[in-house]
Amino acid sequence: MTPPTPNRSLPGTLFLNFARLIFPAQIIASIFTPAVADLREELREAGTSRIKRFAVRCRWYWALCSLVMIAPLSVRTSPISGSVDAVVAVPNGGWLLVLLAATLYVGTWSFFGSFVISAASAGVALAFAMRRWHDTHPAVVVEPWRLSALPTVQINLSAIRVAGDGPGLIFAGGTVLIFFVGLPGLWWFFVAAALGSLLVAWGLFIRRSTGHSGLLNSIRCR
Amino acid sequence: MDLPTLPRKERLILDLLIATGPLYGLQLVNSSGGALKRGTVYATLARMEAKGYVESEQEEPQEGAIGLPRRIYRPTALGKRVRRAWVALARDLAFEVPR
Repeated sequence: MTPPTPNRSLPGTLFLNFARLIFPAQIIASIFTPAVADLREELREAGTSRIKRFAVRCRWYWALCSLVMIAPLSVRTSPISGSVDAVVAVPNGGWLLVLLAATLYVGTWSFFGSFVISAASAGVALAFAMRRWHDTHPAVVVEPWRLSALPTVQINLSAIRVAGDGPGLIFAGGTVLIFFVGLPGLWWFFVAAALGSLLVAWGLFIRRSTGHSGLLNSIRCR
Repeated sequence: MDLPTLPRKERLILDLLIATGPLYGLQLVNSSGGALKRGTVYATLARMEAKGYVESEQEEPQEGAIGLPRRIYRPTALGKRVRRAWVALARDLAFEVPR
């Protein structure tokens, strides 16, 4: 089914567009779209009274902000796009990582100043890009009834399933870009790191193509 | 096997849906007397739908409605059974559990 085309002038349209950048389609369809539809219905019932309409808008924008905060903590989705059955009630540990990163930025504000702003901006842009990629190119396909067997994401970078080639490259490239913007004097370090990582990747490729894939298997199983 | 759970808000939603019939999210909020909030009811409904307690469908576009069709919720057979089981359990334990 084709989703309805949003009209920018309707109340809640901007919010829905924003939510689509952050959340997968299942959550948009099951949580945010019904909420915005009810917002519009209540606005319609408020009639032409400006005071009533203002009160309705205030109530709903507060509610929608609350939904943005609680939706990731109360539901999570599988990589299968469009599967409503895949919504289960498990806290999503990825948001704890976001909280940790935010705390880190706040804590280092007095030392790094503008670097924090550039790192946060680049990080947000990178997160949007990775979400977009993941939604359109799901790297892991699982049956919904096997979701409980998946490892829980914790505050552990190595445990986050980046998977696929594209998101991994975006993650690595974005990380280097953030540090390069913040610490341009260390350009030589990034070049050396890139060359070193290429060397390691080449070594792993050779090892894998000759049949010695024990290390790769252990990484994949983790 | 994990037994079905029925937290307080999910119980209230099932009560309202069983008592009054299919409702929209906003109608649930309005008829709950302040117990359900606009900012949480949709996440709770999505969770209940995933657990199989409620089912929903989009309404037919109505005259005067602006933009999106609304989603209406109704209890499933499983939701009604879980609710009945909870009531029976609560009745059995009413004099056993200290307040």
